[in-house]
Amino acid sequence: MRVGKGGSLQQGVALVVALLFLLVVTIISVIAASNSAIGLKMSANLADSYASFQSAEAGIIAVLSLAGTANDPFDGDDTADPFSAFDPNSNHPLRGLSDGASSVDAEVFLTTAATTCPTEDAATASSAPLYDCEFYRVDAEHEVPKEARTKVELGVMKKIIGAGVQ
Amino acid sequence: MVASRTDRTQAGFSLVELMIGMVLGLMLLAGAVSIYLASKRSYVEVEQVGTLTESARFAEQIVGESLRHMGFLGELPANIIEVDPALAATALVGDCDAPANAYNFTRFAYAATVDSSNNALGCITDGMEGTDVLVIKRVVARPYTAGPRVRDPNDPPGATIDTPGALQNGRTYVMTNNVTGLLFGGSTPPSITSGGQVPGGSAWEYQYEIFYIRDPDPLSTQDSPQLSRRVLAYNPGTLSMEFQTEDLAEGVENLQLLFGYDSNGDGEVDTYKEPPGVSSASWNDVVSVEVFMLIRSATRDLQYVDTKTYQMGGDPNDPIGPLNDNYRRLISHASVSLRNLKLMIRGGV
Repeated sequence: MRVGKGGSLQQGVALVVALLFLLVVTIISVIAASNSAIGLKMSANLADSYASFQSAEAGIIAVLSLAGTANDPFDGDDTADPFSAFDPNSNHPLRGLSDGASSVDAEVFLTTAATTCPTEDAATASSAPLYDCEFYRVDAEHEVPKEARTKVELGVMKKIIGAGVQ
Repeated sequence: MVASRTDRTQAGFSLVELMIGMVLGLMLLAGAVSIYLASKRSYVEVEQVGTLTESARFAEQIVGESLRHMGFLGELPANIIEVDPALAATALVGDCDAPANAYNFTRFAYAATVDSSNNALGCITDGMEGTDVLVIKRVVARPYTAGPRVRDPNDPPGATIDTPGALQNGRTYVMTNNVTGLLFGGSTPPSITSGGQVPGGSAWEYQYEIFYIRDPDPLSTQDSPQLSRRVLAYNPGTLSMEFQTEDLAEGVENLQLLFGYDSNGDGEVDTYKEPPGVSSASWNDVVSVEVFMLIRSATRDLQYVDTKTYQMGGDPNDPIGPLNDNYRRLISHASVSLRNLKLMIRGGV
């Protein structure tokens, strides 16, 4: 019995030492790997949020580009969906977005109905001012669930022919 | 007795056996130790570089967020907004020199460089020499309105701000409608009814920030510099606004800014210049800002010597470094397009 015990002790040391070294090296590499995995996730999140901001911004610009067209959303009223006349697959202004045109939700609000313009027109006009101004707010929200969400707003002033002009 | 204890005789090792065994064992041990040391070194490097990247990303995000809101003061550009004389007369301990002072809209953005005695703008006394200081005056993008924000424009405006909450005494707000704007203290709000001071206006909380590199102890070279922000914040104890310093990112030891100008109004940047060269009129042409930050690791790594040079947007023939110390460094470069200022130029405001 004693012989068997002594013999097995001597033979096991190399194994135990090797296992210990292996354990230390494994722990270090696992920590390093999880660190870089977290870094990767953070970079991906940041990239998503930047892309989301750019998409929301594109929504604002797309709404502005509709001014003066047949689908002008600045028509003296709120417009819940300025892009309702467009097909997301063929002629929608935002069809090129990587998340698709439907990821951006745009809306136009009339904040102040036609009124005297704030700047030089009011001061220089002799009688009724030539122009009136309407004020709008354009909201664009880009959202991809569980990835990123950005909302951008823009104020717009539109000059229209004044009500006092015959 | 001896023979009865073991079945065979104890012969031990011969000298040759022992030496071969020891040499083999030592070789194995040396290999294991060198693998362990190498992986530990690479772990330290990965960890330090990871921390640097994270600090750089955070600093870039915070500064970029503020820069992107530059020029945002509710519904109007800064040059139309007036300052309530009662507020302008309020003494703020530690306010900066004009035009960087808090209640002044001559400039909604300003930049300067820290001088050799660690001062800048008359209010920063612990800056890192030679680094840039960025002042941004803006409002928080969350409006306070009377009643719901989306309403029929033909209805008469409400009289009291109540959505999403009431204005608080002691805080500072900007009230704007489409025509006029006013910076005021929360205890004396302007009238927002028809015929009032700002009819139908909405209020936005004022935010004043100075980004700079704080050197906690100018005489010591051991301490870690910080990217800090001096803000005008509400103190619930005194019920008033006061300046506070917040440390944002550790290890940021240099901040340099380049401003991009669009001098002919075509929407594209013509020149990039450093802040001291910015004359007062050309502030109106600024459409983008390049932010350079140099970040160093919190601790020294004696295995590493920093022999690199860093180009931070200044004279190409005069880069920073080589510093030849044991800190790892990362240079971060962000170019931020100032959408509000671009829109103002394109809109002819």
